[in-house]
Order: sequence, then C-alpha cells, then structure tokens
Amino acid sequence: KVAVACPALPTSKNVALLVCNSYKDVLQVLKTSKEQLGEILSAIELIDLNTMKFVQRYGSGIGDHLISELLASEVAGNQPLFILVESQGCNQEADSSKMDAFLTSLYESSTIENGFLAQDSKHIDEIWGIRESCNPSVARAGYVHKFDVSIGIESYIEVADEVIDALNEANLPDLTVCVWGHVADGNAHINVVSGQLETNAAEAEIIENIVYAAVMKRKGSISAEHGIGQSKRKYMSQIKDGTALEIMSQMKTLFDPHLILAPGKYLP
Amino acid sequence: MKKILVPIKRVIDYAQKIRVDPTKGPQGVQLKNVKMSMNPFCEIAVEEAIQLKEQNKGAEVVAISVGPKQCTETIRTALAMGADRGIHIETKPDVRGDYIDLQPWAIASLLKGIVDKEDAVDLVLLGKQSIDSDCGQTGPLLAGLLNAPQATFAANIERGDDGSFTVERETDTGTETIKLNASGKPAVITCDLRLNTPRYPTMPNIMKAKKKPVETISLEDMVKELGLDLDEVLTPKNEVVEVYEPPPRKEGETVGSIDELIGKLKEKGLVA
Repeated sequence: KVAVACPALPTSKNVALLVCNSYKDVLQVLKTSKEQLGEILSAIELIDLNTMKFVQRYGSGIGDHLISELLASEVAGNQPLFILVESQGCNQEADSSKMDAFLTSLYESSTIENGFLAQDSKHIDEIWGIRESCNPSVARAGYVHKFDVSIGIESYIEVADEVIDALNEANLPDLTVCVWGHVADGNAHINVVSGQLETNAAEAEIIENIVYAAVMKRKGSISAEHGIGQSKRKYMSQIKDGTALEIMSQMKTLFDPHLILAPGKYLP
Repeated sequence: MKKILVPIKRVIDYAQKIRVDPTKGPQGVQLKNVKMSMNPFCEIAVEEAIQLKEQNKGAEVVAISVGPKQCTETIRTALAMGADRGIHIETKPDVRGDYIDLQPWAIASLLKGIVDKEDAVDLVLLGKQSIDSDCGQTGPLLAGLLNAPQATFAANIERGDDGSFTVERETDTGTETIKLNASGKPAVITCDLRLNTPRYPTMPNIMKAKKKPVETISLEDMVKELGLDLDEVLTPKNEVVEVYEPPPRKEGETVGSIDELIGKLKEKGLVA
C-alpha cells in the first residue's frame, strides 16, 4: 500500500510567451520574475531561435499561427529568444494583477520586445504545446547530439556560441546548435542537431569533446538532471578528483560488497 | 463603416471540469474559485470585428458585457485584442449569467436598447452560443427585436461596398450563403468556429488597452435609462428544473482470450 501526498491543484494559472532581443534581457526577465511574481512563479522555459524554427518546420502544428508571429520578430540580424513564463496560485484576480504588473514593467523597460498573454485554456495549451514540441521537432530534423549540462545560468548562450565557432573550426558542416530548457531552475539543454539522420562515432566524439570542454572550462557539470549513466563514464576522472572517486567506490562497495549491481557500468 | 457592437460573455473556461453540488438543486453548478474566460464564440466575434475594422478604416468596435464586476477583465481582453471601447453593465455579484438568472431574452432586450442608444451601428457580431447555457438565442432574439436582417453560424463574412454582408453559414448538411442587404438597420450575425482564429493580446496592445475607455453602469441604472422593466429583465422566462453531472463511466470488462472478446462483441451485437 502506498500513500501519496498530493498538493491541491492550483485554481489560477497564467501563461505568457515573451520575446527578448538578447540573453542579457532573458537574465533580467529571470531576475524580475523572482522579484515580482515570487511565490506564484511556477515555470520559466527558454526556447532559442533555432529551436523555434525547427518547431515551426517539424512540429505537430500546435500553435502554428503564434509561431509565425514569434518568428516575425527576427529582423535584420536580430536573434530573438523566446521565454515561456507561468504562474500558479489560488487567486485569479490577484495573480492576473501580478502578471500584468510584471509584464508591464518588462515592456516599459524594453527588457522584452513583445509578449503574448494567454487568455484562456486553449492559449495555455498552445503555448505549452510549442515548448513540448521542442524535443520531438528537433529529433525529426536529424540526428541530435544531446547535452544535459549544468553551467552558471548566465553562460548558456555564450557556451552555445563558443560551440558553434569550434564546430566551424573543426570543419563539421551541417550542424545547428539549439538551446532550450528550464532556466528558472538554472538548467538548459544544449542540442547539436545534424542535417543528416545518422552520425558516426568519430563525429560524435568531436562534438562531445567540444561541448564538454566549453562546460568544464566554466567549472560546470557535464550532467545536470539526467545523470551520468554509461555514456558519460569516461569523463568521470576529469570532473571528479581522485579522492571523490575513491569515496564513491567505497560507498558502492559498502552497499554492494560482492559487486552484483551493474558491475563496471558506472564507476571507472 | 462606422460602428460594430460585440456583446461578449464571461463564462467558465471551456477546459474546466464542471462540478455540481447535488445539495444546491438547480443552482448546483459550482462557480466559486473556478477559472473564467471569455466565451470562445465571443472571442471569435471580437476577432472578426477587429478584422473588419482593419479593413474599413475609421470603424469603431465596442465590446459590451453584462455581468459582475470581474467582467471588466473580459472587456479588457477584447480591448487588448483591438476593440476601441467597452460598456460594462454591472450586475450584483449573486446574479448568475449561466441561465439561472439572466437569460437570452433579458440580454437581447438590453442590447436592443444599447443599439438604439448608440445609433449608427452597422453590425452586431455575437458568438453563436455561450458554452454555459448553449442557448444560441441572443443573436436571433436581438435581430427580431430590432427588426433587423440576421445570419447565424457564420463561417465567413464579406462586406460589400453597399453596406451589405454576404455570409457563408454552417448547416448540418453543408454551407449556405446568405446576403444581408443594407437596410438602415444593423446586420446581426452570430459567429461559428471556422470563422477565424482569435489573436493573442500582445504587449503593445495590452498597454494601449489600459487607456481605452470602459463605461460601467449598473444593471438597474441601465434598465431605467432604457425604459425597461427591471422585473421583466431579471425574472427568467425559463425555469431550470434540475442540474446533474453526467453519470460516471461504467467500469469496463476484462476478457481472458481473443475468443472471449469476439464472443462478447457478438453478444452485444457489435460484430456479426
């Protein structure tokens, strides 16, 4: 028998999709949201321009007319970034009023270029539908090298740009770098999308090394929410020092003295 | 084109699960702490009005709503979509718009008064029905009271240079095209799902909407001003006898084999 403690379903939900001209503005939105939405802030999700274009091209069709309007913000050399902001609470009037004040202050300070505010459940479903289409859309475009990294929240776009430059230098054509994720939690996903449907081990390793180098240069972690698993094991000695690895080994032996559980899979 | 009126209704959001309190009889539908939004068909009407305004420079779009003080939010949404001003006929907080107190006849009577008061109204655009009462009557009743030409369930609307409206309307067997001739009376058209996709309010328009005028007048004062009878308006013409939730879905049956499945399907006459 299992008892589950369930939180009460919030009765008030507000969602907006915002357009920023730079990552600096995105960081300002993050900061302002904590100040002005505070306890009702429930999600902030980032979607970069490359990702949005893949969603338009390969998505399920949900929110198509909104996506067209969002992509219209890309003018002469500008690279807009899109942010989904959601609030959840128990008082519709109070929450809407907070959301309105928040969006107004962002707009008046030019922190956002534009914002689309959901008016009803249909809009809310559409905006989340766009966010949820990121992963499947990108997967339809080509082979995706996925990276679940932790770096300081201020560094994600910088890392993406660095990766793009390094990939160009390594003469790897046909690769698009996409960034999206849960920036309110300080975490975003970097995805390198190939124009081909398959990859080869050599290319995959070059890309991996490029991304991890950029991450470790900033003392980040090559794993954020998804764990180390087998594929990142070879980097363990680069991200954990000898003492840490030794202790990890000892802990494993403590609970699994006969090495029955997944031998050789995780710890080097 | 001078003026388009768009009556809009604040209803329980279409995605909410409706809960009925069985101890409250006909008043059982729970309205407390439930998300409310603009009726989806009214949203379509607002969008159409704004598109017509964009095609006919100088046209004014007026959003009108009858309901409690929170209706001003619904009107603000219409303004943020592009309507020019709003009229809020404010009812006391316990007056229900979901068929219990206010019914189409009352709304149509109020709207007729407003059309006459506003003067020079070319078009009244309404949603085909509200999703709480599902009556679909306010538009046709209003047309009748105004002695005006009407078309319901519009899937496409074209305005002629002579002030006529050609409307493609949905029927059970296909689309029917009707032309409403310019008659000196406003055309009354109710809007259906395929007509358009309502736009999102964007930041620039949300900011502009804060400065647009919304006239608030109590139901009692409006009724007096229009020379109507308050009892007539507030006494519903139809009485809601009973409200209940649909019966819960019955548990399914588990079968042990394909043969058993086929046997059951045959038993129920679903398979020959």
